[in-house]
Amino acid sequence: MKGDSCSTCSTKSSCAGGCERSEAELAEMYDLYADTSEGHLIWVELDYSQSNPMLKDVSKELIAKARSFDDQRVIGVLFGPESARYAAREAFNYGADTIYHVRHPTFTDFDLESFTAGLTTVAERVKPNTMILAAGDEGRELGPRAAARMGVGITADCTGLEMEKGVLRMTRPTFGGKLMATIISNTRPQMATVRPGSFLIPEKDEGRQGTVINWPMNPAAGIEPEESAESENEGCLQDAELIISVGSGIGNLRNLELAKEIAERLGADMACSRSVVEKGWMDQSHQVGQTGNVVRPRIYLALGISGALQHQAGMSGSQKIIAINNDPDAAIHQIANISIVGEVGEFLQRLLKKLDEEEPAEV
Amino acid sequence: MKILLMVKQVPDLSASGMDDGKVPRGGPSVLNPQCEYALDAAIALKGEEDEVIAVSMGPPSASGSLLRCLELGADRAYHLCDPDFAGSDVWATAKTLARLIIEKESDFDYILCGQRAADGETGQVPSMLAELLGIPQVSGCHRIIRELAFLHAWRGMSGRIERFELGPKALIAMETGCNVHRLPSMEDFLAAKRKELTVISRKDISLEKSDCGLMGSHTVVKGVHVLTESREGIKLHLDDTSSAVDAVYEAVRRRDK
Amino acid sequence: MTRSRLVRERHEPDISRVKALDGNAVNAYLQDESKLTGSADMVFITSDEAGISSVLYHATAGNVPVTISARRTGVVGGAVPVGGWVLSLEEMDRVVGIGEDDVGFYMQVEPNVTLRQIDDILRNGRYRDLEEITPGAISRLKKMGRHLYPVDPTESNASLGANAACNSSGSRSYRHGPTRDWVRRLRVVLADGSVLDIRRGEVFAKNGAFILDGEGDERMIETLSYEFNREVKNSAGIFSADGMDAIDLFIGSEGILGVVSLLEIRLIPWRPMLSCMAFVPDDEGALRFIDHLKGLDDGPELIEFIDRNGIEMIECERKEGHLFSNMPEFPLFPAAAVMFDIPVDDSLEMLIEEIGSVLKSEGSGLDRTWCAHEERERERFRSFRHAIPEAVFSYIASRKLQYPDMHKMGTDISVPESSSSEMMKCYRDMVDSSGLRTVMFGHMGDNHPHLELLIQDMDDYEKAERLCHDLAEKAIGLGGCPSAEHGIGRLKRRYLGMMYDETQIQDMVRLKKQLDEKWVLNPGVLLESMR
Repeated sequence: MKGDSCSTCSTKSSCAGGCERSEAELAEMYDLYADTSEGHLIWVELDYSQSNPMLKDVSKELIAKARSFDDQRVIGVLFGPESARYAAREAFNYGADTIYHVRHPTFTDFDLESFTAGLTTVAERVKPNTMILAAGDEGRELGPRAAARMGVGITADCTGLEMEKGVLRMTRPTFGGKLMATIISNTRPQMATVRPGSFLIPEKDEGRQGTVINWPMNPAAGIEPEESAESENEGCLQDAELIISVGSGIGNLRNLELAKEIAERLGADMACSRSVVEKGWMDQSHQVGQTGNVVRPRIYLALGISGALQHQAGMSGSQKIIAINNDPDAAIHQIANISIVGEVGEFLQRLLKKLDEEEPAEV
Repeated sequence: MKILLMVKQVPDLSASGMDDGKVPRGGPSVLNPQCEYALDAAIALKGEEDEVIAVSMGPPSASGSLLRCLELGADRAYHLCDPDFAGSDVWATAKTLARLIIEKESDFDYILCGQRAADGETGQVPSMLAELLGIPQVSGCHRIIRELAFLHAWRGMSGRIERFELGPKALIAMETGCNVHRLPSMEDFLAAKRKELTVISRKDISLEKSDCGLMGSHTVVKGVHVLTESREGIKLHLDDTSSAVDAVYEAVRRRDK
Repeated sequence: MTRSRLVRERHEPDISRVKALDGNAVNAYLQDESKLTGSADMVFITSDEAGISSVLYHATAGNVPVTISARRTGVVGGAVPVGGWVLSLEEMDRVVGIGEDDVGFYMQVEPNVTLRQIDDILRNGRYRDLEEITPGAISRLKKMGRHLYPVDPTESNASLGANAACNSSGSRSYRHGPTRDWVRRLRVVLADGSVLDIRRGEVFAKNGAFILDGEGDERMIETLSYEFNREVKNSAGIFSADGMDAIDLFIGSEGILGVVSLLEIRLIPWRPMLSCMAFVPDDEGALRFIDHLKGLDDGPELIEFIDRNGIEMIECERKEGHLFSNMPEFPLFPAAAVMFDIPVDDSLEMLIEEIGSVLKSEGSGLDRTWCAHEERERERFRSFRHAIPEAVFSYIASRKLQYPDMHKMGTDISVPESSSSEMMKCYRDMVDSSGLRTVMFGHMGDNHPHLELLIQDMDDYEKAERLCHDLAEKAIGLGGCPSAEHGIGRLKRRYLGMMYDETQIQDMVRLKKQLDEKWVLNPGVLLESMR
């Protein structure tokens, strides 16, 4: 971080405003304001559901991206029991140089307090230039908590990262995704959480190697869940290939039933807009949008959805958008690949008829 | 029990479009949807002897959202309003909120807030605030119930549902909740006007200029651009024979290009 | 000196410039919200006034009937074509700009602009793409603050052209009047393709007539001689008054005298409002409460009513999880509800306390109310107002499976203030003796509630028809109007016959022929077709 070569005081704040302690000429002569942070720290996440712990896809993305920034070291921090270090090799294959293995048998589960302690103590040792986490459920808590502990800035939910002479330019969507902001940090390390799927995963380099450093740590005192169960209302919308989504333009409950029937026939998942949830027609877990799920299916069939910004935020990543809405001015028509102006109920009846013709249901 | 309710006022995005390159201005502002869930939860948890104190940092118009909190049952409110607070990033925001809490209401039991604001959408302030206050946090909650002085909070994380048991002090960030939003009565409306709404300036909480607002921020917005969605689209009318239905069917069954 | 001369402008008629559809493509234009289905040979979609002029010119020349179509939200079949052509204004949906005169600001719009569009622009300050009709108007409007177009018919997706054609009213018309009071200027295309540009306050009838100017084709247009009922909210029949303003000929005449190609509508400054909903144990108490509200000095902006049956229906739907499940429990149940908007100003607290004591005397109280001031909360309120019709539609729709000819039957009656209590008594008595299940809701401010009849079977259907007829007759007898809001269109021509005698109707026919000799414009609307 800036001012690192200076030992005049122990303040960790950026000395951007000028230093009261060091004389200006001295500071310049010895380049005391130089930024000596170096390297890119990645929180490496592991999937413990298989027999051997494996690197999560999102971590592969981030390691590879960091590798592409410049020639500085890429350092991964991974939490886990003894067996976790087998995943380290994979990390090296994707571009990491060093892995700090923060070890404890209980670290197969996410533990906010411990992981914050682990990340920040490693960061203090390493003094990286950047520190990057995936913006999953865990990263969204861990990132800002660690940033606050270190007193540095953090940019959340980035979809783009660009390294320019040591300065990380972070891009993220705001206002429902319509406005992209580019942000830089004036503290070190420059921290970001990144949306999974933002970067490509390159081919592994099997021959690539690195160093593992053990970092034993006892779990920090923090709260743990009393109960933890598989979610019934599985947010599998995130993985859905085909989504049929209804908005208030669906008109009435009979049309909704029709849509559900068609979804079942097509093997599609049901989703909806916020207004449908507010009407009490469908559960919140099906909501797509800013305050709901963000989905990227192959096909997103929007029935009677107006396409307000906060809904677009949740589905604009769909490969193909098909919209049917009676209102020709509805915003959804502008972002749809196939845009149909017409009555939703009628459309559903005709689609059902088409399904009956092409794929007669078994009696 | 003393519950601090941290809320934010945001532009109403449910209907508006986008003025190219500019932040929507001049449009109506509303209480952030996720903060609304927190408000509903706080009021539901409140008993006779308890206090719910609403806090918001924002321009003068934010008092409207604080008034709403008072109408729905909050007992008093703080409005952090000062030109020096403008331009705050998440760090400066968390710092300012933390300072208010430490200076004025340090004997709180719980902090409730919305997880994410509809405009900035970073969802980070709750975590940073909890860290600065040195208290545990539970993010992304959808349900809270009370058992004497303890709170049980449920949240979804990576395909699991977790339940936490919390004692004071702790922070809970709501991501969703009950969709039946109470409406205040005209009596509540009158009562709210008589409740205490204190405007707090930077000096009132002994905050240095360099610790808040633009100067106290650690991140800087370098540029903003509008994402223009361009999709190759075909426009059909439902009554153009049945070609619309055919097109959809082909696309769904992958028979198109 | 006032003038009575209307100057006609001409366009070069060139119908080839106009987009045309035929064959199956016309199918989308054959229905409106009345659910009647018509027929047409061709649809012309005009993008400018010259296009409208060309189509009408050729229609008259070739004696082809033309039905005018915009958003097709009407419930009386006005946009349902009866053969011939459809003239669709769908592409003329541009809000042109803002102007200012010594009365205030106004907006210039093409006929297919909707209320929703206008509201969106004014509410969010989206003036970027608008023209300054008078220099500096937009910058001054921004400075003066948010403005409002005060006429708010429930159907916010209807076009302004249609609003003008029907002289639509909304919940605020109790205070601010119907569309007629807010139209400043119209450009109208006549049946022969010529265009009139009329500004209110410029052309008045002299000796009961206007002079229609034109090269070698000057003629007199005699206005109607009957007394048009202005005492009550009324959209039935062609406007008439001594020395009337020419612009009023084309407002409320349902498109049979000309096609509107441009409008200028006045705006008023927006005031922050508190939307309130009070619950009173019984209908009579609610009506008394409404009377009290009407008596206030700076009274409510609007007054809407939902009767006990209506609230019960909503509660039923809510409990069964069909609709309204995001609505909180009623603070008083069973009860009738009164919705009203009051201005947020210094006298608000005092006003609320006064309202509180009236509510107390009616068995309610300030704690048995709902209120909202934030924009989004007020939106939630607005959706409650539409809740009743939705519940009724839902109910009727499920009956339709058994009786495909069933349609919702409702009244659209308004009476003068002086006859209001007698009319309410009439509703009660006649409904009771019919034994039908009903719901009453609507614009109580102008004594214009909708009575919706819930029809279980064919027996009910006949009873309902009789009831509607009897109520209409009674209303007319009390000086009211049986089709206050929806217009006559094709479905309610018989009401016209009830309100006007044969001589008066012939008078309207005469006027129509003077402006549309061949009877090509909207034949069958308002008046029986003379083709």
